[in-house]
Parts: sequence; C-alpha cells; structure tokens
Amino acid sequence: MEYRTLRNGVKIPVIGFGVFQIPAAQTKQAVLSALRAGYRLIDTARAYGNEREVGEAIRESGIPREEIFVTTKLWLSDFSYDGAIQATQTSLERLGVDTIDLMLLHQPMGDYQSAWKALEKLYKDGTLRAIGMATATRTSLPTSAKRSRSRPWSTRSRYTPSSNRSATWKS
Amino acid sequence: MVNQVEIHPFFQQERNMEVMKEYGVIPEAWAPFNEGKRDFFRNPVLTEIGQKYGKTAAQVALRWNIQRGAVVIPKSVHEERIRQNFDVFDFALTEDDMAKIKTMDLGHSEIVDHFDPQWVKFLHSLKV
Repeated sequence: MEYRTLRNGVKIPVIGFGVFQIPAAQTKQAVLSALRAGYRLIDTARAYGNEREVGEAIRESGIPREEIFVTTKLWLSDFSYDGAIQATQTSLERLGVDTIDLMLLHQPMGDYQSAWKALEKLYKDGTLRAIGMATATRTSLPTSAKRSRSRPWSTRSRYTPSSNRSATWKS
Repeated sequence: MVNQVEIHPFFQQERNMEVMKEYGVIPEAWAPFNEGKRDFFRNPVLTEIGQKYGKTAAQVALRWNIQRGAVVIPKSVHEERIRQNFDVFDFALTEDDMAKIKTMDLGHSEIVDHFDPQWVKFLHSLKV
C-alpha cells in the first residue's frame, strides 16, 4: 500500500473505499469486499447513516484495527463545541472504536470554527489521530489550516502509527 | 490536515490544490468519477489513454488523481468494480497523458454549488 504522510506524521493510504450513498443494508458486504480486495482506508460520515455497518465489517474482516484507517465526518447540525464533542462520541459508539483515524467537518458552513476547536481538543487527547475539513474552499480552508499551524500540527504527533491502539479496540 | 473536496478530470481544482499545498494540507478526492456524469466511464480521452495500459477510463482517472498528490476514495457496490478501482498501482501516466487530461477541466462543479443559497439551505435542513 502506498501512503501519504500528514503534517503530524500520520500515514494515510492513497486509496480508500467511500461508502457515500451505499444503503446501510449493503454497507457491511461492500466494505468486506473492499477490505478483501486490499483497501485499508474506509471513508464514511455521520450523514451517510452507515457508520455502524462500517464498524461491523471492520470487526468481521479479522484485519487488525490498527491496519485500517477509518475516516468519518461530523454533520452541520452538530457544529458547536459541545455538539461536536457529543457527536464524536456517537460516531465512536456507532463504529465501535476507541479512536478515529481522521475526523472531518463535512461542510465549511455554520459554526464550523467552534466545531474545529472541539476537534483540536479531541486530537490532543488522542481520540482523533488527524482532523480536517471537507469541501473547504480557497477562502474557508486557510481559516482552519492557519489555526492548525499552531501546536500540535507543527510537530510530530505522539500518536504514531506504531502506538498500541489495538489495546484499546472495543469489540 | 486533510481537505476532502470534489476532484476529477472535469473539475481539477488546481487553485484550491495550490492553497492546500501552501498550508501542508493533503487533498482527498470525492466523486473521482464525477458521479458518472458526462458519460464519464466512456469518456474518449480517458478511454484512449487507458487502452495503452490495458486500463479502464475509471482506472485512468484514479491514477491521475493519485499522481497529482490526492488521496482517492472511489465507491462501488460491485465486487468486480471494487477490485478494479484498487488495481491502479501497476501503471503510470506520462506527462503527455496528464496534459491531455488537463484539457478536460471545466473549472467548476456540476454536482454542488456552495454559493447557491438553495443548496446551502438544503444542507442546513438535513437532519442526521
């Protein structure tokens, strides 16, 4: 697998399997097929309504949790500091994981800056291994990117791929 | 940091990608096949390039995104397609191929418009 390295040292596969528009009933099978084919990045979102099935497929695949890069996204309706903290907890529970490899804010709209502060907090405490935006434009991107130039983005994360995340894997 | 945006040969996002590069942000490409619009899977430019390598238009499009530095996240529910989309690591597009694909750029999305108030209103109305 080829990877790209994020600024914080976290490695992301160059190809992943997206589950947008896959009905929940078909998601587990599709993700299992993808994992069998060699994909190691699964991209879901709260708004897709299939996080639970993604989690089921990951567990059923038998592939160690730390070998799979899981991305999900928070929806606009949870864009406040407390809302983002709470919604991340819900995603963790639905996916059945203790850490999320990449959490994105799904739209650069509403109070995404408060939600971004929550992501930074969850990044610092190790719940999220990397954070980002979706559909950020040339104007909204620098707002988040500039903030994230401060600690901890400018230094390598202590949450390296080699840290023992499997110990915290919830079944 | 990652920025997941629509990137495919019809919407190449060159300026947005330059800004991402400036800030050290990794681009991730959603809708790498333009959601099938514009008869994407039979596009003559992509198909002709693919014929040289025994690859489909879809595979060429994924390879193009990867060579430009993006992460791609294709979706499919068909086992064979899922496998095909992953099978893009045994060939490389030449500069000439990349230049041909560059001419396909429309410079805007035909899927979403974040500056359209109706679209923004719709997004805010979604309950998840």
